Amino acid sequence: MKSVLFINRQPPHSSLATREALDAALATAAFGVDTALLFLDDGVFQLRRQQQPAAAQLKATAPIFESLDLYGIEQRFVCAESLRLRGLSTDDLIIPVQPLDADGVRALLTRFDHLLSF
Amino acid sequence: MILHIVSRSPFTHDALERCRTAFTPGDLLLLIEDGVLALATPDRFLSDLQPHVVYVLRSDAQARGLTLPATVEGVDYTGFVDLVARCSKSVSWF
Repeated sequence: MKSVLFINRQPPHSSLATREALDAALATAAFGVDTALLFLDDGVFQLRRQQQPAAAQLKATAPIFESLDLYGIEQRFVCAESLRLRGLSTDDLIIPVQPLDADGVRALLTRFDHLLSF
Repeated sequence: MILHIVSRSPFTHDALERCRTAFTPGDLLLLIEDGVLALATPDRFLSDLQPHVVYVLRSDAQARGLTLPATVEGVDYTGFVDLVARCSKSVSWF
């Protein structure tokens, strides 16, 4: 079975990217495909705690992130440099994710068979 | 007096930077949508602006889990309209 890495680079709420990536990841995981998520650049804002999307009449995405364990998506990675540049640390994030340096990101892209960008 | 409305992330787009080069003292800046992400590192993007110059659409900041620094003023949509009315013109940067 091929493996799939979802690369999330868009900030939350201004587009449907977060929701579409998660929907697709949940689907691949449900078919037993080796599935992982990588958060890069502004994509790290998707994981930020204390989002109140209802304030802007937007749908919450936190419940989907919190259900990732249930769907067996335990491989979640974040670019440490992207976090640092945005004044964030892994403590500011709603779910546990593994931080990676640039070498780690490169290794991840090498390891997976398919790379899907959102 | 011009109201500059920035709606893109300063981390991945140059909208805020380009706006700043076109900014005349006395102008106002309003951050909306992904423009509010500048609040993640205000020291980097907003520290050199005077108080009462930078406004943020509060609901967009709340949606993204961002808090407003003391030098930045939050507005709701009524406040947004007030800013547009206060300025002789407005320009969007995206």
